[in-house]
Amino acid sequence: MERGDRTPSGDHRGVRRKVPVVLKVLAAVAGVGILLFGVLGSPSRALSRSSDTIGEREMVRITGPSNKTVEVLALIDTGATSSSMDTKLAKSLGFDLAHAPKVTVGSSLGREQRPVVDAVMQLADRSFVSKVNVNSRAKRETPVLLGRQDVQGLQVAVGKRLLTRPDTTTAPSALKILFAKAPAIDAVSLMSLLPLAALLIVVLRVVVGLNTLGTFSPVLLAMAYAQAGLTLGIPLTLAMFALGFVVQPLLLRLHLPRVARLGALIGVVTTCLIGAQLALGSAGLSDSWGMALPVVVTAIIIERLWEQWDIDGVRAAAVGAALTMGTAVLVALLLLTPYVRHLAERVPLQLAVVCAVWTVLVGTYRGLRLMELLRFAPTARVQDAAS
Amino acid sequence: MIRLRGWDDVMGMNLRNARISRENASAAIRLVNDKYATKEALLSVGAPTSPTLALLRSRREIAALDWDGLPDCWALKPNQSLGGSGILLSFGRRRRDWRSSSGKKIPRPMVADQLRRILDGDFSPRPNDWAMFEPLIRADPALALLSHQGLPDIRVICVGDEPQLAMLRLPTRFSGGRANLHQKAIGAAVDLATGRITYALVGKEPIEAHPDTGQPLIGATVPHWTGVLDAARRCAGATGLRYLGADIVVDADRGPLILEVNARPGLQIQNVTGHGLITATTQPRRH
Repeated sequence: MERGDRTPSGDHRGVRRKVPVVLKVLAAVAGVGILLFGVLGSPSRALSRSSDTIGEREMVRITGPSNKTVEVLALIDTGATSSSMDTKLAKSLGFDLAHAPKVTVGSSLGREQRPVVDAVMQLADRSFVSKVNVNSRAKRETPVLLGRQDVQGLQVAVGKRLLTRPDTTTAPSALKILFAKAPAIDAVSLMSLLPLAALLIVVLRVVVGLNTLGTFSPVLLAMAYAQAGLTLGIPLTLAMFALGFVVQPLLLRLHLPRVARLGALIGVVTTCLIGAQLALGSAGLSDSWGMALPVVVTAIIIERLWEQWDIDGVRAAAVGAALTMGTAVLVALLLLTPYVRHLAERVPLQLAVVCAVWTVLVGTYRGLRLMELLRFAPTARVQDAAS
Repeated sequence: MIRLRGWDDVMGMNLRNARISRENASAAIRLVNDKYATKEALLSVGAPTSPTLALLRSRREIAALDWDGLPDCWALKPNQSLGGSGILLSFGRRRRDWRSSSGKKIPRPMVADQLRRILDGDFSPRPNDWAMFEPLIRADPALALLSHQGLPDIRVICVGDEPQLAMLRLPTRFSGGRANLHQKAIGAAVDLATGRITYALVGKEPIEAHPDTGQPLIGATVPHWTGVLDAARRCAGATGLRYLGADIVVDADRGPLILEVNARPGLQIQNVTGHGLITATTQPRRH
């Protein structure tokens, strides 16, 4: 690689260089394998120093009279005295609301009569029976609110979310968070994980050779997925892609310059998000919708997707979209892995520095990308035969 | 035992990018991204390229364009487009209008609209661009015979002044007249010494003859081959690039013309020629 190679003796040096290339490739395969194994098999870790600390939002397990058990997201509200639960949820758990005793509750909405039920709850490895009043929480962010009577003896870490699971005080797994309804990981924790996400993107590009639509757009999508969950995030992304493909030809017909077209796309995407939220708001998803899609990035992805479709055809565009979303899911999984969150909570500065150093190291990789082993297989075969 | 020796010479994207950033000065890269300036630089050293008939830099210049001064046949191009997008070709005049290769009418408003889109940067990585008219290039009959519509071109990888690898890119029906390999144009390996086609690929499939016309490819010779190599040799001196991909066409009347010079030539030429780029570019052959 250096100047000396240009002399005829460089040939021999070239021969000696051969084995390390193979080793590098094997190391790359092993690295990606270890990453996946690590993400999916991460040991549980407590995120806070004391076992009686919980976040502002936690998963809680509720058992009703019919012995049916659900795990839902609860808002921990120390400003409220008692806990409350959504009517639909209470009915599905088998509570008999018609014959339940009534209680008068004063809230910001005024005073009202609500039925009260006894629910068996499990939160951060504690089981207790709670007197829960029942009202419609369809327009609220979470189906359950836990007041201070039910979190006695626990400390609430303001700004943190999902630190525990119902049955242990360790963090829930990445997959569980992503498939929970409206999980909403706090933005502060996500911020400290950004350098790690960037490192993963660099590895996927430089070592694996995946080309996504936009270099770091999967990170922004991943942060959105971590905030809103896959069950909401993925369909919304797909719906916006579809919407973009309906709108783009119309915009092209207007002969707008690209910047105006992108601006209009942002407007259309936002309009539809708000419209869908207003129409479906009663589904109880309200708070996380705004987080579910990074609108500007989505508009840019749509534009790129359209260009790729135009130039390289449907298949290339579909592959590009799938790779972008797949990478986003992988990044989200990594960011939400209990062990990674543990590191980000305990040693955020060191994590950032280490990730930056590794990013530079990965950037110096000059060997073949894994995808190029497929792409250049014909050349290698020809050269093999020739040598 | 897996045979891995064949991989030793294969250059990947990482190595290519590192080499480009080390060997190609950023001023030279900026120059070749500007097709108009590149042509001026080529002409100043006497390298063959297509002259610019008109250069339009603003909407005011569109309004002031001397339409009647344009020839019957021309190519309208964005100055900085990628992958040959945004090009409009006229194959003849019909009263006030022009016509396309298929004989469809190209009215003036359509040309003006294309000019505006080019200036708005619709086809360029930048938010605005310049548009230029060039005389239409018609492929040499020997090359036109090997091709299906479109304009075949020859990609020559040079290290400094020395050509290292060459391939001929032939448009197919599937590639829609474009000579881009990933859009299923044919890539044909050309022997540097003789200009003979030795091997041809569509996508990953080796072929013997053109899939649309049935014309045999292997053994055919590129016309004016020494002229093509001479043109490629002049690119480094004119642009200041040390590692480059010259795109050269052979015009029926004017012979070899440099279409553009690439500072970041693609790697697919390795699959087409069956030669890795590492030896070719680290131990350049001398002629």
